[in-house]
Amino acid sequence: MNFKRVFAVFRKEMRRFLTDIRMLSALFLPGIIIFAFYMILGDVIDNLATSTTVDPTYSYKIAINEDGKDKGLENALLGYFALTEQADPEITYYPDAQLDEVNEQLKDQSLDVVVQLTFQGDDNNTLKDAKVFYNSSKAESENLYSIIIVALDSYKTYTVESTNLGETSALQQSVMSFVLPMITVSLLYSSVLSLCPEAIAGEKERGTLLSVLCTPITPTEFATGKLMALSLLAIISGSFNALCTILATPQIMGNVTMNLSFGGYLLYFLTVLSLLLLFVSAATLISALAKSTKEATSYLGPGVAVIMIAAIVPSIVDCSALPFAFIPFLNTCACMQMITAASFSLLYFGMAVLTNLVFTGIFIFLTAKAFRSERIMVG
Amino acid sequence: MNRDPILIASHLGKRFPLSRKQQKERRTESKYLEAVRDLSFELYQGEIFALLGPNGAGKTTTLRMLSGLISPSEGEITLLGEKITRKTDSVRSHIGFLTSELKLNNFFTPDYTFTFMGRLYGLNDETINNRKEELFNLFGVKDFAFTKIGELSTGMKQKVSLAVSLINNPDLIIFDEPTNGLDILASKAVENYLLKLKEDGKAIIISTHIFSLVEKLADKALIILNGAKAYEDSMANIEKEGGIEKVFFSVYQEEKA
Ligand SMILES: Nc1ncnc2c1ncn2[C@@H]1O[C@H](COP(=O)(O)OP(=O)(O)OP(=O)(O)O)[C@@H](O)[C@H]1O
Ligand SMILES: [Mg+2]
Repeated sequence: MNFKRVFAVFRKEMRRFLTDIRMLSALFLPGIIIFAFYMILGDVIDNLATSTTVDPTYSYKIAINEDGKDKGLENALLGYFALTEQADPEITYYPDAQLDEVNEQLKDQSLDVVVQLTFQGDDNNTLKDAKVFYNSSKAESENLYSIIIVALDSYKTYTVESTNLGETSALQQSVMSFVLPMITVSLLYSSVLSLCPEAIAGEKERGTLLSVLCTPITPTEFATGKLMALSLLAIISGSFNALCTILATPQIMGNVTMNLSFGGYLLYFLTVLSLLLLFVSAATLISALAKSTKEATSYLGPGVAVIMIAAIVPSIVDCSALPFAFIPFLNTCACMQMITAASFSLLYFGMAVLTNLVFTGIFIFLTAKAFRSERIMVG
Repeated sequence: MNRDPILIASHLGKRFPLSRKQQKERRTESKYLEAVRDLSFELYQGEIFALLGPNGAGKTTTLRMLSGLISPSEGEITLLGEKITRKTDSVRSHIGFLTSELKLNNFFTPDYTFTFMGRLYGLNDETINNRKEELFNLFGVKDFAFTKIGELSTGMKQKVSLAVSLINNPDLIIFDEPTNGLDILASKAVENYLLKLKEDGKAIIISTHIFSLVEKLADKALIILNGAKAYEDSMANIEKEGGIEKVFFSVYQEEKA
């Protein structure tokens, strides 16, 4: 193996892709578009959420503690709803001891807001503090919450402690652990799809491969140089696109930050990396067997659908048993899901990455074999 | 001058396996297409050897085997005492090969292409630049050295291909229809350069359909019909028999009869 020649091929390939606007946009635009799209979508969703008009005939269900009875809050609320021509709210009272039970009703959305007021002073009429419980997964609850905050504002002398009992962050987490792998995986595949057919089958189709094979470079050296360049390019574009997705996805889920530790991100990156190498080597092999870019693309294109579907499988079927770690690709989707859901086993993870690398090795071996075949390469 | 042959082709044969589809397309039952059969010849230093034959005779296939791009199904080729196979890279660094099927990457400039190919031959940058200067001047590539190859005309591309094929200062030069697409000026430059290479003691094989080119350049000619050698002689003898054109047609008529 002459590494100078390998390196020459590597450099040529990098130059080919990094100086071509068309290739550059194929490599990096998906991430940018997803990022921009999600930002806009996130804003739209936010606007939708805050501007949801609640049906004026809807009767809000409020629970106030017994201490807070006849202290003016009911009147303020009744006045507000009459003024805005909305249905009267249903106000109920509960003893302080039953706060937990009442909050259960808030959680299952049969109540909209729970208020707990504490008073002090001679006549026990000065508001000391107010606790407001609401549930952001119900639009009415959020609406009423803001109305009550305004109503309480007139008391001025207390501090309000607000508690959101909606389990949105867990919900978002689970949606994220489902959406994120799917988008990441399909973006990785799209990078590979715009690289390999062009770089391998394209050279064959245009006859530039023959010129190279006439020089002293061996088919194996040529394949190595190509694979190195394609992997690096795929890593750069794949990580860029994956990063865009990771940064942007929380935007449409309502501005939550992902609960990933540094180690979590590192594991995520490693799984992505092993998957990328698997994709590159498989796509290179298929491109080497195809006669033209078109043919290679037509073999690889339908893969997107297969990949999207396979990326969802781990969220439907439990793939966390160790044997699943030995199924390439599926294991990685399972890993990604476990990582984003913050529940992963290092053994499973290690086996998954290893399995991907073993398959990558097999594909590289077959690719080198294909490159040595006169029938496949010279035609 | 060394009188050992630089190149020996002995009993070369090439069979292309045919797929079912190809069998149908070619209306044949045979599983193989015999493109070249039992072809032997020798080539000495300072000699220009012309390969002639109608379309599909097997010229390109023969030249591809000589260049090490494909391996013969039968027989063997020895260059400078070393066997040419697809696997040996050392012997390929002594060969310069040019055919219209070899394309250069449209995306790059002639300048970069030359550098890249030079690196594949293991040349250092200084050698590459010297060769570039010399060959680009000679074939008039200088004017468009920094224009993308995709934007060049057929003849301009051919000039670049010529320059690139000689990058490694090869001992054996194999040109498949070298003046294809070239204007008179460039053809003349190629002819002159081939004569200069001959003087430098290189061995040259050209395949062409142009009789005048053969008469001007060649020392020996070989006519190949249906993959097999039909005629081989020195140009001096061909001259005596009334020229290459006459010989070619009489050989062709004889074969048909
Ligand atoms: N890869 C291949 N697979 C199958 N058949 C082939 C292949 N390459 C060439 N042939 C066949 O071998 C025969 C010889 O082809 P070749 O290209 O050597 O002819 P040629 O003498 O160069 O013709 P031309 O003057 O048209 O260039 C033809 O019948 C061709 O169809
Ligand atoms: Mg030909």
